[in-house]
Amino acid sequence: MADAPAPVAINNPSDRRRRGLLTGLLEPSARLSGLLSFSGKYMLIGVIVLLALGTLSVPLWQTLRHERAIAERERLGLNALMSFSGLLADLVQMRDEATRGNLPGLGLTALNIKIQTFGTRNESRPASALAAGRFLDSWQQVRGLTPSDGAEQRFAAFNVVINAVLAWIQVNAQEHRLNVDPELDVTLHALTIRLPLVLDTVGKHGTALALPPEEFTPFVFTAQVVLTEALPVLADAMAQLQLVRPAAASLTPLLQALQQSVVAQQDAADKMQDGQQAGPEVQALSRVNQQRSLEFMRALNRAADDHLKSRIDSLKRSQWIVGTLLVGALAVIAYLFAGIYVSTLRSLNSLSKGTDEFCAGRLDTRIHVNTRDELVVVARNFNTMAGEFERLLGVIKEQNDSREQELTKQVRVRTAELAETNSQLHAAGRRVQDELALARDMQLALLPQQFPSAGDWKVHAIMKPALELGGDFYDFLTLPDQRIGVLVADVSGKGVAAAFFMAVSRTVLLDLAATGRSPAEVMALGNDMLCQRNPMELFVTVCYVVFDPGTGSIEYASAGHPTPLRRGTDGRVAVLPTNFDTALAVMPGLSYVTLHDRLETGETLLLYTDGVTEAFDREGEAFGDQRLHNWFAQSRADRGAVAIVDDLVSEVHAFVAGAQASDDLTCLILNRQQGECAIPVPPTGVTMTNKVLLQEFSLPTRLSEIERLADKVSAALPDRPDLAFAANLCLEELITNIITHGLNGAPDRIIQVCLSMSDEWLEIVLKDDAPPFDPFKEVPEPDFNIALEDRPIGGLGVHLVKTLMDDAHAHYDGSGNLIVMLKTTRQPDRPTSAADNTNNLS
Amino acid sequence: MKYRNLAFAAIVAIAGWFSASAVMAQPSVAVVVNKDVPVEKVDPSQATQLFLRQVTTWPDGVRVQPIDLPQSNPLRAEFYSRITGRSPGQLRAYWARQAFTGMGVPLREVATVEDVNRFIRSTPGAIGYVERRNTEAGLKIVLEPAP
Repeated sequence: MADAPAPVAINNPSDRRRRGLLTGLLEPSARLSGLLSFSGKYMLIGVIVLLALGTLSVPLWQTLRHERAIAERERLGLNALMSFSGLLADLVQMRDEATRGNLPGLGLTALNIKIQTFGTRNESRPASALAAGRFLDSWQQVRGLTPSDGAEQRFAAFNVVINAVLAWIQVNAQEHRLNVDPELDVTLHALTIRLPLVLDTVGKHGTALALPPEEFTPFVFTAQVVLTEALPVLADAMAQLQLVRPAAASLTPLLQALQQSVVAQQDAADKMQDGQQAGPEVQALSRVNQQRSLEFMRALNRAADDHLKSRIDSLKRSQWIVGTLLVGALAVIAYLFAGIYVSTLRSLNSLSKGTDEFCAGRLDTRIHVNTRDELVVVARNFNTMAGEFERLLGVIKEQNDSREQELTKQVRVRTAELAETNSQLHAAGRRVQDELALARDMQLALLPQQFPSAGDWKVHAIMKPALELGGDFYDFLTLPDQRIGVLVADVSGKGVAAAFFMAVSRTVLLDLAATGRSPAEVMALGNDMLCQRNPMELFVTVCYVVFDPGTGSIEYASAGHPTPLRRGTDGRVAVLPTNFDTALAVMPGLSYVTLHDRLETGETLLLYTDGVTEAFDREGEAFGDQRLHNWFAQSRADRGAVAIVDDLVSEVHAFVAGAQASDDLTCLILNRQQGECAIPVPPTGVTMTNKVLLQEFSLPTRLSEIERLADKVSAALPDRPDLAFAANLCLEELITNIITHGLNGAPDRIIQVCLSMSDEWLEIVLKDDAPPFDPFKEVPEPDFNIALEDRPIGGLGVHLVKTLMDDAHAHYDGSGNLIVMLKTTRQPDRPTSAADNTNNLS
Repeated sequence: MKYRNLAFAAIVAIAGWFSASAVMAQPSVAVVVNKDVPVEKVDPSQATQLFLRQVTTWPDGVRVQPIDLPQSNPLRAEFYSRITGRSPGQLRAYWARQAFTGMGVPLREVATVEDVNRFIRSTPGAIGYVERRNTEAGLKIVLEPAP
């Protein structure tokens, strides 16, 4: 492109100058055009054209109107002239009569009325008013004539009046512009000056002959001169009139007759030069000529008036044509401009609409402009651009489609691969999950689900791991001296490693605790042992409490663990004193301190891990020590350890409100309370004064447990071996029956046993969860009359119970069978029959 | 002073009249006007304009009413001859021209000097000429030509 030769015109300096000059000249107009919309541009041009046409047409129209007004004014003047000519003729005739001695007469009176009417016309123009005044003044002189006045006097007075009329006729002609008519100046001059003068003169010529000849003869000759001068002017007037109005040729006979008779009157007057009597002849001709003058004047007046009328009509037509042309031109221009505007607007609308549609995404949009102006080029360029754009987009789309297909194919392959891998991973995950679930079950199985308790104390705990496997644990053990050891620990970290270390820690600590060592010793030894078995360098915080159910005293040691809380009977919560010893497995050789305290009846001890206080809600706020303290203060100790633990778990659960648990949650409640059987016993109807719970057992359904139970019963009744014997015998029979028949030997069930004693009675309560069965009603009494070998199996145990106990009965409470047995506390040396005691039963 | 001049003029005039009448034996003419005419004196030129209708109104706007005597009366010929310097023929031609062209009407004529006196007395703006000795009371003499 850079090498292409530039157009010659641009290189030509003179052309460049011309173009620059032209551009400079057009710049203001171009700027103005740029400021206006299309409607504004057309409106501007239209207004300018209208102004130009108006400027050109209005003066022409005004000129026509002016000429028409002049012509109409001239017609008014001719109309007035017609009246003047009549008046003049009357005056001339009256002069003749008056001069000849016929004054006064009816004619004068009639003429007077006519003159008064004439003279009092409303003459607004000063010249006319003046002429009218002079006329009336002169007429007053005529009116003032008396019979004594001579002919000369009368003749002179009428001449003054006629002079005034002639002058008035000229004023009228001037005021109506009859003297300056561009076409009929000669005609109107003849009509307004010459013909009135001829009329006057032919009359005066005849009348003067009646006066003394020696005085007036010279003036008769003067009249001859006037008439001689007038006749050619009349001929010229006719000629001029015929030029513009050929029809006026019809007046020619009138003029010729007038000319001939005037010449005849002159000839007759000339006879008097020879002393001939020509008076009557002249007088007769004078009258004829007056008449002919008047007729010709009127005819000429009418002809001129007709011409003026036709001129006015022509001017009206011209005015109408000019107006019509102006209006028509305006209409045509407005129509053309509107058409141009509409056409341009239509083209622009097509362009705008097409552009909008194209921008809206319709790429196949093409603009069709059905004109031959420059906008067609714009539309064509747009269409070219749109076509090119569409083509390019098609190419891009094709490439995109191809790429998309390739990508889709790749994605499909990759997806299949991923699905395969995912399936494998899923299977592996499921295996891991299964393994973890198994590990979890195993870990939970490690934690004791049966909690030691007695009538006046209870322990309950729970551990909720954050992941499948937890690092927290709790445990209990009964020490050789019958004290109860409780343990809560928290291994650092979570997951499998923590779970393994938890198992190791639990084993080590329980083994050490089982030896009956003090908490400090257990901690110290446990620390050393764990330090040796800690390849993952984990550590564990532990709180170990030894509780003496008999005295309520507690010994405890804490290794980096949250210090236990104690809730008093008044609801106050206190943190147990602590020595802030180090967690286990951190470093070997550490020593720990055993602290001593006491748990009074009604007080509750809470051991927990930081999974409680560091449970976070969705906003990241921790449950915290204070909230734990508050909750503990408001908890109800009388609801039992199980309920308290459940309450705490529910409280924490409600607080985190579904947030992911960040740590394992473990808590343990040791509740010391007044002794009372945990099994709800329905009223028996007997009085039990100072009833005390001696022992409460949760007995696993294993026959081997019966012996341990017997030991505990014996221990609970050290002073009454007889009662212990009877109780153990009955318990053995009943429990054996329950395990063997009621539960069909299921090993993992629990039978609860409560042993209470009042001043009057020993109460033994059993509760199982076997199907409903009442041995005291459903088992038949044994028939001791049948030989032993012939008796059916069963029935003896129940019989034994009935025999040994003062009262025994059973009922099903919806969750299991409840057996209540009563045995009097009276000594056997004072034998009392069961029937006596049953009197107290109601 | 004024009266002295007037008396002197009167003496001169009377002396002149006597000498004229004695020598020429012609009647002595005087121009008189109605007593209400606001003019005391006119000169011959002004009198000529008034009697030829070349001046038609007095200074107060009242129309001038000239009155003439018949051509047969010798006072008329004397008046025109002495005051206007026109002969009777000239005067006739003047009035004929005026009458024919409508430029003026000839003066009204009365038969006697007495009629003139009567006309002037009774007509506002009237002017006429009389014999000097026939001057009557109620008329105002505005011109007395020297004998």
